[in-house]
Amino acid sequence: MKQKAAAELGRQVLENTLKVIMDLPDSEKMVLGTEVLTKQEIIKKFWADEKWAFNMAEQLDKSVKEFLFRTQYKKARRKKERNNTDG
Amino acid sequence: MKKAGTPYLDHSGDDATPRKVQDTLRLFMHKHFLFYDHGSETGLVAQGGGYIIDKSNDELLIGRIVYTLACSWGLDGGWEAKRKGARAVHCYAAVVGFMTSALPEFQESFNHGFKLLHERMNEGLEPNFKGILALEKEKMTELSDKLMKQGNFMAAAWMNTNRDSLKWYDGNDEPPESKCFWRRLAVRLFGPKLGWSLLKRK
Repeated sequence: MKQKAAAELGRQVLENTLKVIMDLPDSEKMVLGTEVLTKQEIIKKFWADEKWAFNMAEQLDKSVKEFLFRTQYKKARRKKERNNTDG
Repeated sequence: MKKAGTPYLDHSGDDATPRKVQDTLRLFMHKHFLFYDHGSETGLVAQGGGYIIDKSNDELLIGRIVYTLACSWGLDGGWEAKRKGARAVHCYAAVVGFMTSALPEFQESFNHGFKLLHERMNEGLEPNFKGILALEKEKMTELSDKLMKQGNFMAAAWMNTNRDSLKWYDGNDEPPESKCFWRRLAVRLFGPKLGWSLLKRK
């Protein structure tokens, strides 16, 4: 059961990453130091280099989670402060 | 800098050769050094190749505040430059990335630390490098949130990645973990200060 859940999580992260890449505008470029990648080159590199693909997926996943957490945290803290004031 | 009347010397394009920049550094000892070009773990790379600064000449940075956006230099060379006597070193410990669709946000993030530093120094205040680092990271988080809200997820992710690898080495830092087994062993046995000075690095 745990194995199934882990596989599902991996599939979701991979799918989300691919969706973000595929949704990039055609004119978009990713600049990595001296390397400049077009959208097509990002896709090519994603499938050619597993480590790079994993790092990309990880940084995207982490960033989205960080943003969502921060948003929710701020909201919850405001609510808590309001409750404390009211109380 | 022009607006604030801060004097500076600019080497760009064909003028940014290792020889010319090194000569300027020798001529103006202890003046601060801004480097907006490429890098590697061990050095700051000149336009057209070759190193302007590497471990063989990083004594040129002694006494200077060094502000650079160069990729990965913070992993090793930037730390080493601080250890050898640079006053403070602003650098990234990983590849610096950005998306062209969010160029203004990335430009803002890359220049923010320098602006803060310049303002403080112009006002005659102590630089407070760690304070500036915190404000820079805060700004990058704010910009990342802005990009996230716009749906530019990839740019937001790169903003965070840059933020997480940004360093201001000012002498109160944990050293980066060395890739060299013997260095790691020396640091573990003798502590960072002695461990980092025991073995001559390649």
